[in-house]
Amino acid sequence: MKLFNIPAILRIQSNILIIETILLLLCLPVGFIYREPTMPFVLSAIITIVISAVLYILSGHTDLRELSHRDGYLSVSLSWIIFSLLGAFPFVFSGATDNYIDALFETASGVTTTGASIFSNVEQLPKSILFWRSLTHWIGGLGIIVLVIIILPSFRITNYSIFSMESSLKEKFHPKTKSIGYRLLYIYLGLTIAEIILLAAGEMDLFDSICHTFGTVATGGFSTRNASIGAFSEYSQVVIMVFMLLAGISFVVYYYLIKFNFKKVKNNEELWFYLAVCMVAGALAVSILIAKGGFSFKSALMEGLFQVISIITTTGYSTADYLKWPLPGVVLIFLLFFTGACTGSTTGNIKMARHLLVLKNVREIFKKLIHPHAVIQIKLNERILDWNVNVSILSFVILYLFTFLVSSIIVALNGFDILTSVSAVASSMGNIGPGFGSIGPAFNYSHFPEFCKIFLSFLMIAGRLELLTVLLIFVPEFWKK
Amino acid sequence: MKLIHPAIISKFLSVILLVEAISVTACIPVALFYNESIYPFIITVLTELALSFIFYLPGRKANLFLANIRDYYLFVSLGWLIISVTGSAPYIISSSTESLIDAMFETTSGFTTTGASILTDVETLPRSILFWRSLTHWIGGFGIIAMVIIIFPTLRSSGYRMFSLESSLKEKIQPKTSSTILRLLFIYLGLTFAEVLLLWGGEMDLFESLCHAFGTVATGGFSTRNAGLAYYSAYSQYVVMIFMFLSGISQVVYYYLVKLNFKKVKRNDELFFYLAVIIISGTIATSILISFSGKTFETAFREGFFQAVSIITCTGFANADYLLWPAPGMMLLFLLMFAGGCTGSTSGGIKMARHLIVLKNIKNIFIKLTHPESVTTVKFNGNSLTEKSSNSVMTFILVYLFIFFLGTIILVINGSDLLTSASSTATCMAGIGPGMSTVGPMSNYEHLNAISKITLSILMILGRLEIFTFIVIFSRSFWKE
Repeated sequence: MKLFNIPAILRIQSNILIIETILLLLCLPVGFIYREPTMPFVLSAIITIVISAVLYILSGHTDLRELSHRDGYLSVSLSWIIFSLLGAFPFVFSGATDNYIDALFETASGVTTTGASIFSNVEQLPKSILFWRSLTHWIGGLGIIVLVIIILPSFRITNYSIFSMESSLKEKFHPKTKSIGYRLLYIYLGLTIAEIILLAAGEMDLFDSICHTFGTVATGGFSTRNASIGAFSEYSQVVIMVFMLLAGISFVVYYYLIKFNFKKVKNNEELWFYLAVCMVAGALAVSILIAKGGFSFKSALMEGLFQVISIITTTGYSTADYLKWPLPGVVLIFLLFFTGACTGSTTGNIKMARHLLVLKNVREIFKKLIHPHAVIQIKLNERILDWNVNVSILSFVILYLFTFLVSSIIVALNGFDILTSVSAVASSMGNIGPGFGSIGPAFNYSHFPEFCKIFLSFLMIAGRLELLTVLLIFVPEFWKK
Repeated sequence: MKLIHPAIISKFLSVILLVEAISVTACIPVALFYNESIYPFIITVLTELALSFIFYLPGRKANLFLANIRDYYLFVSLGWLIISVTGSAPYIISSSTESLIDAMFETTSGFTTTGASILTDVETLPRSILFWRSLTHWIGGFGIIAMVIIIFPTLRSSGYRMFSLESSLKEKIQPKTSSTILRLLFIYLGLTFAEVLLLWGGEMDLFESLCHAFGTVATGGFSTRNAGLAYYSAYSQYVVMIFMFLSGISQVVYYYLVKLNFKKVKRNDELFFYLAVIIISGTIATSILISFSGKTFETAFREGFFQAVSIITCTGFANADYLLWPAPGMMLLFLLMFAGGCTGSTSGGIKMARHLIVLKNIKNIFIKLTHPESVTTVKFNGNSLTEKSSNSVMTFILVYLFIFFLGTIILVINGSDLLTSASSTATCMAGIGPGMSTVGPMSNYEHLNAISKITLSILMILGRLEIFTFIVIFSRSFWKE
């Protein structure tokens, strides 16, 4: 048996590129409406479809059902990378940026739903380019949901299967993966359409509504304005806040809601933990702003809650510059840089389920310290967790923090201050977007050297693919029989 | 059955105070020899004897064999607190420190073998006070060895059992705990004696040799000079460096060495991991110093290895101001602040065994991702580790990092800059001593405000007692049946 099924991997890339071509063509109508040059998209689409065809021919006759785990991991990582590499062309062809590395950073940031930008003035960019930028969010968000809920559990990584669909359900599902895919797509589409309608009912035009909706439901964070959501009315801010919160909820929950299976929703501990964290952090932020920042209750509520939800759900939209908040507020935001929302949503980062498990482990340790002979079981969503799963989740959190530490040092070696390097790494790994220091919400990443841009793009993809999937490729064991 | 036995705890505390009174008495000859005031010590001894008697009264009839786990936890934490409070009397009476909090900070730092000081000019202090300062290290160091090797394993918390004496041996020696203590004491005394002789052979006088030997074998770090080890010759620096390295090795290893059981020593994974970490980080530090600051090989080697060993073993002696090192060197040292030596030694921090277990678990996860069907076990010191043990080790690290984060925030809120806060929290939790920025090796903690000093003192005890032992007292289940 060969180590890798190369034809199958190539065929998957070819399929991904067909999707990308279709998306690029979607930008043409926008270009026509706003009388902007459509050549960048036509050219990019041609290049993409040619490469897709070449990959298809190279793959020859292949059966996608013969995928091994290794093929799966490699295809997933490669497809994210290839999508970013080719998706950067419209930015270069349209002259939005003359540096391919910048364009690559922007696309990787889009597809991974990060929302970190290198453009200092987005308002002067062609509308079709802005649309493409937001569209990368939307497709990246959809991709990650499909990946985490359908593809990764089929790899049987103990780490994921517990969070996604419950196994009893999954077994029933397995033969008809396609139908779940469609249902998830409908939920995603439903959220998107609902937000577009609500936003368009406010002062936003259809274009702004669509772009911001893409940024919200994918928890991305690209805006069409330099001031981000701060440029819009309170009504729009509230709508976006609510939809950020909704986008942070696992799609599995929506799935059960539609099936009227409220018991499963009630038993979803992660959901309640997520809501509790949002409320506690929001209340803290609001009281800090009132007590130390001298805000009125209403403006503190709007500003505090919006930034907190935006960071927890790893969206990265902002209505205010949190760097100007009182110090405890800034510290709170920094802590939230390591949260993330529910597993099975479009958010990145460590995610609530893992935090909840760590907390449960701590509690159990105290119990065991006092009752050494007690038999201890850790439950999540009413089910007893295997020790195996438990260990791998804790390892994940430690590996995440370790990667964060080492990467911060690598960025700092390029001459950045501690706060900028640390927050750039946390923001990229967590797919948030803005950071602290010289990359706060009011700034961008354009002043980073090329090496850092490539490195941060890599971190975005690694963070988006739950770290292990990407890091695995660098482990010698992966390339051995 | 009672939840806790106040009488037993009281009796234990009475014994601890008696030991402290005896050690304070040891300072009287030093004071007489140097013609210094002996009143601070006499008053302290009398107070401690009186307190010891008061504690003895309720506990005189207590049967120590009835002590349960809760009693031990409470006793260990209370014991450390009480000796830190009473041990501060000589500083206060001799008015060596400006305030009560300063005196307590200094004593806590001594007993926890941290070595963080609030004294700006130690050279002007009476010799007898300096002797008491170093003696607190030595007593604290022995106390911790006895605690980790003898008391913790009887508490049967799986996290520790693995590290201490191997269970086969422990069963054999459990009935004769006092003889084990005596043997450990001889090893400890032997190390101290050897170092005193070697230092005395150099340019140090007997007093300085004693004080520095106490600071070294306990991995403490109090010096009798403002410039620390930088004041002394290269010979003394090398001697201290070697003994710091030796003190970072588990006493269990020495125990087996004395018994000529080399097989057990060879199987000690932690020991070789410790060696590897020291050689690698020392080499990195040396090459950074040679290439960035253009030092000669001998100076770079001496400075690089001395600082690396000093911080890994949590001693905190300095033979150079590492704040003047190039940035990559500083970052290396900051990372090393989370290292720690071997379990069962006097060093603090996370410790090598835990790091090793985390690395092995992460490696294991990558193997499992590639070969999902394979059965893998994590081995440590030749035994396979249960997932529950791995789990508690990893939870420990996460809690450690979380507390580090909280401590940093408290210090930042109290007005220290970020680097000072982060490094002083890390350094106090691990029991190292000097930090970075305004608490570097050539400065001290005097300028921090009272809340910061109290926070750091608590963190020292918390870190010294391996976090959980201390926090468990504050958990609800500790006070419930």
